[in-house]
Amino acid sequence: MSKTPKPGSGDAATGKTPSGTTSGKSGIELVPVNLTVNGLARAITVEPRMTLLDALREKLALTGTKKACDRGECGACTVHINGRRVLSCMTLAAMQEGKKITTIEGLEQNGMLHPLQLAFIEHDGFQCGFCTSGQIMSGVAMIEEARAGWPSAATADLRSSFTLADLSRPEIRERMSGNLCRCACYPNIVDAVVEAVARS
Amino acid sequence: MQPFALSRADDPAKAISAHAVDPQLAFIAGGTDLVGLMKDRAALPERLLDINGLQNMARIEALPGGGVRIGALARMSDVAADTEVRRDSLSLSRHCCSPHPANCAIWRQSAATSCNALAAPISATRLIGVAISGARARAVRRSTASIEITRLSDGPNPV
Repeated sequence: MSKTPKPGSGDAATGKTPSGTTSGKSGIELVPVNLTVNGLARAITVEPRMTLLDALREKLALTGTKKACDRGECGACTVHINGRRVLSCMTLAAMQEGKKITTIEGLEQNGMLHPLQLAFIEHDGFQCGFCTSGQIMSGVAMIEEARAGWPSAATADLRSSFTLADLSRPEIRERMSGNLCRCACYPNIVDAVVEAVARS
Repeated sequence: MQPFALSRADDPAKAISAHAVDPQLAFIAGGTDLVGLMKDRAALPERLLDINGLQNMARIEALPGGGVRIGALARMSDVAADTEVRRDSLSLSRHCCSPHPANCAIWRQSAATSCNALAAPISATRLIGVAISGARARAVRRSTASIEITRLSDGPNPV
């Protein structure tokens, strides 16, 4: 009888802690991967072709990260790898050895939602919600990028240092342009980011 | 995706040698280009060599005669934000943070060049080609950014 995998329980597909490479169904050697997900050390074995998105959802049962286009075009699968936002559908799980992954499930701290999560609720930054985890993961990283002085294609003067005070609505729209929302909640999403920046 | 084997490179010379003797081996860095091609079955490598573990290949350096040298593992967002690039190569910085949604995946996460850069002297044309995908890349190759390309291609292969 199969058991429902729980987050933090290791390799849900094999039910064992990987000790080395073994032969997968495809005849290709499986790859053991040790990584930290939302602060927890995890050990999984994956086929080399498994994306990080599929590993998170199917190996680690972290289904908050959504699979939509699966081609790196919509942003729904955005997670953080070592603090940077990445599209997990275009990233191989086998390449994440030693990396620190944060998913939408990892933003909450001590039972408290992240300020951007609260702002999304307050400003109604979603309708169907399918893109929301990606929007929020992207937004959290985007605010840190702006804080670090990174420019965007909307930055008028690239030679000047960028500050959070320069994070205008056009800047937010540009920096969030990799995250699509078919419900077109963009004005509310921008409102939520503005609110979170103000609180930070 | 079609099944393939994956290994991790720890030495540039070994990686180049492996590629030279194995035409079915492809380098993978950021993966945004290659993984997409593999999902569409437009590229079907039997073996991938992950080069992200190679040391000192993500550097962005100012060249004495002007311009910058960009390591093959430099991330697009690092290129866009780099002080030297923003000072000397505004068009490159601008293109590395391209506003086109389809490009966002690339500038966010992928390596600045194709991993093919390992097998041959790094081609700045290739650098730009990967940095700016699609029609925009073609335009850049042929027109304004070719100045940047020429400048960036000067100097020895950083590998």
